[in-house]
Amino acid sequence: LSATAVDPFRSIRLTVFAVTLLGAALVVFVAVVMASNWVEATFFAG
Amino acid sequence: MGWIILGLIYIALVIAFFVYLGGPLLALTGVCFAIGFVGLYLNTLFEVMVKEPSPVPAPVKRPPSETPPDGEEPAYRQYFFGQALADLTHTATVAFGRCRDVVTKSAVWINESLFSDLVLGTWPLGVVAYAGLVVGALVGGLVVGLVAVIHATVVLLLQACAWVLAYVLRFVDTGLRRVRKIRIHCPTCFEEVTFPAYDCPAETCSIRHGDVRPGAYGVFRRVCFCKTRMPTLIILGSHRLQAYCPHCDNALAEATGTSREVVLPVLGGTAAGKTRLMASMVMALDEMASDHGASLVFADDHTKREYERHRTLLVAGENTRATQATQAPRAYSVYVKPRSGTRRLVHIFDPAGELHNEIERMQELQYLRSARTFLFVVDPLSIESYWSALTDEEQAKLEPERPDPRSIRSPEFVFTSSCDNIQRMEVKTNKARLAVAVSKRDLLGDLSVQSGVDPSSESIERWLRDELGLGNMLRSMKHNFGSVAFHFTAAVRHDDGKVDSSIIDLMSWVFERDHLVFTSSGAASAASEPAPSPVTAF
Repeated sequence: LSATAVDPFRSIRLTVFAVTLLGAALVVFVAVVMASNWVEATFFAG
Repeated sequence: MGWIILGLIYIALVIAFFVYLGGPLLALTGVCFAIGFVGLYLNTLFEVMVKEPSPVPAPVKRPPSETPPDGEEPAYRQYFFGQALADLTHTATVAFGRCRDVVTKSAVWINESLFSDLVLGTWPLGVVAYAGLVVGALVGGLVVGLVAVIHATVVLLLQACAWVLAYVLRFVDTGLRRVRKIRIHCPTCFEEVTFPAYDCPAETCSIRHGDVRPGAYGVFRRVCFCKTRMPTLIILGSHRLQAYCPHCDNALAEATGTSREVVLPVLGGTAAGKTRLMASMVMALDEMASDHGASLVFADDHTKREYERHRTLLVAGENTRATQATQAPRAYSVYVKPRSGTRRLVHIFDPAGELHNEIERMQELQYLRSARTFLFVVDPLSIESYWSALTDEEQAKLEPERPDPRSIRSPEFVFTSSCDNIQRMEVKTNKARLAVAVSKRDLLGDLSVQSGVDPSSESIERWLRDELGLGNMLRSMKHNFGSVAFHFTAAVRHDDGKVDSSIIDLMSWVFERDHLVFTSSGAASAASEPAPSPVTAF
């Protein structure tokens, strides 16, 4: 019950950082996929 | 002519540079800046949120060291209720500053390197670099903005989840207590407590937290200003902390909120033997618990202290001291866990007899509202017809045991007054039970005036009505209460260390509805019998 925390927000900050990183990675992944599709459709169509 | 040709070649090279290399170089520069900006933002986020010690720590709002009057708690606000926004703002501000520094330094480098002595050869590169810087800053800014929006979205989503989870947890905790019919009452002021206040468990802190339930200060746990973690609900372990009444600030029973409460008010006139009877009941519980695999735990220090005091007096065969009427009584609270079945928190209230003479003071006894069984103690020596039926010798012998004649109120008066007050509190007495304990059986059992009266409820009732003239009181009892039973009681401890079996029989009836069953093989044994009947079950 009385475990003293050095940083009261340590674990939750790690969680937020990890989720944000995952979110950013997901967005980048989607952007790369969309860009590659656009490039393919624009320059290599037909 | 040669200069013209050279000029044309120069122009052609510049045009070729812009046509064939300008675009890709511009794109490359822009991508580099964009990736660099995102890297800067994520690095800043890492430094703010993860790295220890942080080179750029976000400001953390310190909680107050004492409970302020406006309802603020001496705890850190939950991360998503303040600090998350501070972290987001701080990260964005620091990252923006770093990106601006990069842009500034890059512009200076382009100026110094590409627009200097070899300006004719390097200016196209400088132009592309500048354009790349602008495009990169724009694209990078957009991407960084997107990451910041993702960060903010994550914060908002988790904050919403925290709110929902907090109220789901509250609902589950309250729901579970409702299903188990657990209510919390303060044993001092006897107000119903929605949720107790708790002290910080750290020995060096012990500050009071008024409302620890899930919310802005924590979902599963809250962090005290001294950085000690505390559970936020009883189902999460807050019952292991010392609880306090939010109404009167007095300590609640230990582990309050974990067991169903049973309230037993002991009513009766001054010196009727209420305190002695109550102490004997707790002593009997203690004995039975140790003998029959059940358990009895004192729910607070007050009960333990008072019990030890009264036990010493009972063992020594001395009288207990009269209960003080100066303040409302605090309950004697014990946890009783039968051999089979669930644990109960039993509150026994022992108000001073004088309180029954004062309507206003009786109204202070809020615990009467929660009782479903009442115990009314009748001292035969306070009944005039009983006293006058004694011989002179018996009167002389019993004079020290008789209440002060100046303070004697007839049982009828005390009962009528008590019943009126209980009904004024909107207690449905017709659904309640009343145990009438005719006390001091150990002193009076052998007297001629009680000869022929056996310990059955019917016999005692008949005796009280026909011999002692308490017919009106008995009719009132039967009229007002759903169920009435009469018992002779002897609040004594025998030579073998056992409490008289009449106490166990009384308890069996009193706690029957609450599924705390006590039985003795000699249910009809009288207090005057030297050896009590053995208890066979608990």
